Amino acid sequence: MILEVQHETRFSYSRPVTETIAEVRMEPTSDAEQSCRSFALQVSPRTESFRYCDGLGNSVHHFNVLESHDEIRILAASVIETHPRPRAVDSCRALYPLDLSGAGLEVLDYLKLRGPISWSPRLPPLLEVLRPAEGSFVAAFVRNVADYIRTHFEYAPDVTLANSPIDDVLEQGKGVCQDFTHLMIAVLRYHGVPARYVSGYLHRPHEHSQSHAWCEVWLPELGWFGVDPTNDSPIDEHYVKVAVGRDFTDVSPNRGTYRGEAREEIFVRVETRTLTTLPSRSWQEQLPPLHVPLTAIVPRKRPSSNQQDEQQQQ
Amino acid sequence: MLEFITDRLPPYADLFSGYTLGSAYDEMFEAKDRPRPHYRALYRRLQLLSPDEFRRRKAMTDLSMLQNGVGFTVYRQEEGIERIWPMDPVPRIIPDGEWRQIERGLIQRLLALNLFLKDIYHDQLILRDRVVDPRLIYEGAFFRREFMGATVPRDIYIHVCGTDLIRDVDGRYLVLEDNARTPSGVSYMLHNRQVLKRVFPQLFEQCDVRGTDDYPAALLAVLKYIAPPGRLDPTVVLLSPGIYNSAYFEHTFLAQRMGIELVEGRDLVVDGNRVHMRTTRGLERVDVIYRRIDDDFLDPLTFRADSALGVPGLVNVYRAGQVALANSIGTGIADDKGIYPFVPDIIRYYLKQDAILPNVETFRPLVANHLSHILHNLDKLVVKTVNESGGYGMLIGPASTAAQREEFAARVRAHPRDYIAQPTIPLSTHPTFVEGRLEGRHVDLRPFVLCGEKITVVPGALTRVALPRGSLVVNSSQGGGSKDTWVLAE
Repeated sequence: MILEVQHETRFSYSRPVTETIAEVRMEPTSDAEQSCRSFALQVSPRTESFRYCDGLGNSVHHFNVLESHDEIRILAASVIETHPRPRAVDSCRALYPLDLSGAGLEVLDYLKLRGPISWSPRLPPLLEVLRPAEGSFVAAFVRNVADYIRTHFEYAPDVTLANSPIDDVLEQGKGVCQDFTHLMIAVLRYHGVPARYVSGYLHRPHEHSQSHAWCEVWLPELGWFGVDPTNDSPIDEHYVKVAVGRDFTDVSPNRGTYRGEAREEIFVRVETRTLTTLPSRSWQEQLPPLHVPLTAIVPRKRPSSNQQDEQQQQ
Repeated sequence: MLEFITDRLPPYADLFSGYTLGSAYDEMFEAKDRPRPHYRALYRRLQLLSPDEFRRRKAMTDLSMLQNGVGFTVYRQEEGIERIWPMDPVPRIIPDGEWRQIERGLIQRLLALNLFLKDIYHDQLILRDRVVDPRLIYEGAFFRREFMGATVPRDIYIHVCGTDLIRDVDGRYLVLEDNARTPSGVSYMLHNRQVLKRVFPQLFEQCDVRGTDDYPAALLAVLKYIAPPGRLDPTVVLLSPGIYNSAYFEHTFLAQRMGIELVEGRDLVVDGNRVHMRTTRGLERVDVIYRRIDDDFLDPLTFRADSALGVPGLVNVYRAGQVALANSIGTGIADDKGIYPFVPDIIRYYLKQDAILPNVETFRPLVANHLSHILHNLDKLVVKTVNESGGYGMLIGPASTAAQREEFAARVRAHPRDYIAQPTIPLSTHPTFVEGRLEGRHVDLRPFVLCGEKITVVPGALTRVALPRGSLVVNSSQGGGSKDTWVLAE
């Protein structure tokens, strides 16, 4: 399946700010399950952007705008060819407790509770009810955890925040994909199954698109295997993977600071569509133009602030 | 024997009257009234001084420290108050032969630690070979996974290392800890020498003491060595967290001696993947940053977002090779006390050599029989928090109360990775001027090792002295003092 993703982020400031510096994790990965065929990043006001690969293997683009401005617009557009995933989680016959001797050292990063996935006194009842029996299939345990979260927690936007710890979703009983993913990771890690956070997109025909988050579990024979605790669906060709990390804070699509005292608002537009063929090389010239003029006023220097995070909602 | 007899002087020396030797190794005396050969000249000189005269000179050193503002802010006491680091006027002397061994040991150690860091942030062979338990790295507070795979200029991670050495009862030098992040104290080494030369000019001239004045030039050479390729006359700056930092005096001192700008985070700005300094003439590109800010606060974009001390975007410029940092990012995993017990293995792994300077015997609560040994011997051991420095978060068994031991036992059980324990070593003693006469006080030794084109050690060190009688804690932040340290020429 060939998918085009447009991810536009607009930061709007009540008063002009200076020295915005930001990095974005918006370029889809290329691996056995998907190939990123094109990627274009447009930033307005116009500025040069740079790219590197972070310690976890994600592509990061960064840029800065020195002069005074009251809006920053970022358009990340990509074309991804997603491939069929023939294996199901149950094809892994590993038994609990999981033997990690075949895993790479990097799984050590995905076994501890930290950041938003920190210990909560509300966690033990969940850990108890989902506790896997010794000698049972780990794959069944993983599926149970996802099913349990999907059926016992209510999907509701505007209850939790981008920086909510799992305690919030446990207390409210509701949240969004980001919270469900954090919660699933907590349960798996507690029981010794390496689990990591995936940030990406889910293409749903005829439905409003948004950025999405799900969980990847390390299993013998399968390696890292995706599971979605929000939707009752295998991770298939409709999913586009962008970045992986220990939790949301490692993969937030945008992160940045600016100098100035202003109220910041963030607007996000994500659109996905299927293409029948790979587009031509001039594809990125047809993307909607972004034009944010530089403001003329030069405000007094103020201490810097951090840009807001965009919560992963779908 | 004849030599000892002729050197034994009549006991009219008031300064030394009542000087007693304890069980610890004494730096000056091998026996009562019998100075070691390299201390004899100093001993004779001191005997010619009356306690009153000595007190007058001591007052001169104190005044000199005060005038020069040699301070070390002590945290957790009166906040933000500079206290003057007391300098004891009796110098510590290291003979040439001992120094050569120290020097060889330190060079070997830093060579291995730099290879270790390169390996940890790239191929991780030492972890794959299970010489070091990978969990110790991944669970270490100072492991910067964000920096995995990044290359650093000339593969040097630690450019400046301050390694703390102590001596056991036999006078054997042991490594107590490495300081591989932003070690401080070198300004005191340099400043103490200036003061001592002024206060005891004759004393100094009588001995053939090697100079330490070259340190700022040597450090600057290291910093220029790592500049981005093609930058022929690189701009080097010293990045300080500002006046509230405990080592601010040192930051100003070193910047001045090297003739480079002293800047704070707000003086630097990233533009177009380059670092610039704000000047009256506009932005000026910066090539090398001697940073005295910890990783956590260096760049709010990469590390702690709430840091107001750092420079947003700095780490990305460093990663792109457009600015150099000394020390590099993530060096804390090399001086993590949880890794320290493995340094001899690390040396063997990369260099195929045995460590020239041994470690202090160390027990790790992660190892079951070590844990029980620690819990049964808390009254004899020193227990340290692995991620704290400056003498904070420490239990000194013999000086502890039952309640403190109980608290530490609980903490060690709950967080075994966060602690190590070592036998309480009676650090060597050195005559120190206290209340009108000389008494033995415990000392350690912090030489400064530089790594640029090659690894060098300036012939000198900071000798820290625990001023309260019997105290084994020499840290300046815990109220220690310092001494000038003389390395003798051949």
